[in-house]
Amino acid sequence: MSKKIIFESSEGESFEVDEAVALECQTIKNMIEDDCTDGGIPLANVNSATLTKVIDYCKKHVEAAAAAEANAGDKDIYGANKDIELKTWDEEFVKVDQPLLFDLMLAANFLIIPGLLDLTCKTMMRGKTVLQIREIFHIKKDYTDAEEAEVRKENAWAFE
Amino acid sequence: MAKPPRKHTTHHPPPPSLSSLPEEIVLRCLALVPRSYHLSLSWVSQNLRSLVRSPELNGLRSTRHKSSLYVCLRNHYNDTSFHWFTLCPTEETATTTTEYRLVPNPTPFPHPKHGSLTVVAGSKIFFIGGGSSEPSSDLWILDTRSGNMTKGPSMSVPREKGEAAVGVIDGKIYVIGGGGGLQEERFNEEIQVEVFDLKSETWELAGMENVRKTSRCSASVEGKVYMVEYGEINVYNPRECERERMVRMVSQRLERGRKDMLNDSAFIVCVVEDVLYAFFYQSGVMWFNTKLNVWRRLLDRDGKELPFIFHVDAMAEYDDGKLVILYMLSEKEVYHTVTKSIRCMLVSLHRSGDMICGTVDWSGSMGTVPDSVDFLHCLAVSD
Repeated sequence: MSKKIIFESSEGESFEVDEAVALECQTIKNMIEDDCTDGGIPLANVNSATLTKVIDYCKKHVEAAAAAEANAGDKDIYGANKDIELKTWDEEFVKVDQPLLFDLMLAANFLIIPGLLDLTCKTMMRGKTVLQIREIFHIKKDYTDAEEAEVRKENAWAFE
Repeated sequence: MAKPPRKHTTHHPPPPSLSSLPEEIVLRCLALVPRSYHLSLSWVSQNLRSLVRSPELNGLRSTRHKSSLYVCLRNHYNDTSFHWFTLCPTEETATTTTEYRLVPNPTPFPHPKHGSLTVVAGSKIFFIGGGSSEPSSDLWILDTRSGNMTKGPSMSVPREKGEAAVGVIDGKIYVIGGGGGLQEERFNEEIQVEVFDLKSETWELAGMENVRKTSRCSASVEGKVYMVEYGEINVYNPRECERERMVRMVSQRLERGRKDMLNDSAFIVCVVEDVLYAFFYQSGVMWFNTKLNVWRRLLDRDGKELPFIFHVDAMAEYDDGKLVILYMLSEKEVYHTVTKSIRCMLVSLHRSGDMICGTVDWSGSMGTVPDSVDFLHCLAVSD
């Protein structure tokens, strides 16, 4: 049986995961290497809802990597389809509400999960309008009216 | 201005605002947005505007999207005379601004004997089939990192440049058409589409498609191969069922809110940040709006035309999201010796919603070549 690692969320809830899954997080990997994971790893700034999602993400990516490795020897004509499947899974994975997406992004940053950090960062701004971005990030307009007019002029081409 | 509603729960603090996020995360978010959105993003707030213009973001982008533009020139009197260059900026000094030069490749690249169809995947250049009117089923792969050229597995159908279309989608190269054959069959052919899997390095057959057999230029955008021809576009979508993958559309242009037929020829296309650009003989540089399926002229921010170019020889993406346009201009000299100057126009692209416009960052000459030299390839390759 593989070694288990125990995470503790900010609410004090315990999550048991395979070591392989935990190794997806660079921060945890360092802790495991330093052998300081006994008695669980408290994650004071990651809540249970976020942690559940993070573990889902790591599990899926560990499974996908294992499946790719198992197939690598064969003449793997479905390999690319698996990549597409994982890409689609990722797209579905980040279809969550904004607060959770923020938490996932911060958790990925703290735990150092580059794939998840890129995925959440990409979802944050890509394909969003100026107004949507202002709303998502709670940005108050900090331009004066004169400045705003100047920026508007710069972007006038966008409104035919 | 009304405050946006905030969720307050016992264990959930209000979602962070932009200023409460670590700057490195905001920069990371920005680095993952196509560069063409930068101008419209800077409208969000002063803070974002300064981040968009920051050297930190540029640094982050250039480590993430490292690429080079390879240009191959050949002497058309001598089939074995190829020269590979990369486009490089000159150092900016106190008295000069940045200019661009074609710098000879330090390790000379080998070159397959035909001027075949080319496509780039990552840091590799794939030479597929034969040159014009010499069909071949060969595949040669050039690794630009090592400069090594290797022969890949052959296709099942010999194909020729100018009639075959190619695109890279989800780790696979799709090769469509180009089977050559008799003159009277020139307009239509049932031909096997072949797919090269980049991981396993093997060819697979992807079914028969009925394709037009005319000279074409092609590129892949949004997971489909676009084939641009006179008055029409054929779009190959590998995700559809066999025989439903090819869709033919009449070319239309949208200008001042009016849709018209676009009866014009394009022989140069390229893709920048998943947008298709083409140079049309009469209409100049246009981009294709895939939502409305219309061509639109690439204009500047004031709605004015970009500087007129009589004949574009090559176009490609350069420097993470910019459009580079290359062309040769004949220069008459004494005793009727004719040389050509290689000219370059570097265009920044700005995107907002369904609109794209361009600003010329630099345009100028990059040197002269004998009249017998022309462009063979112009390829944006990841480093």
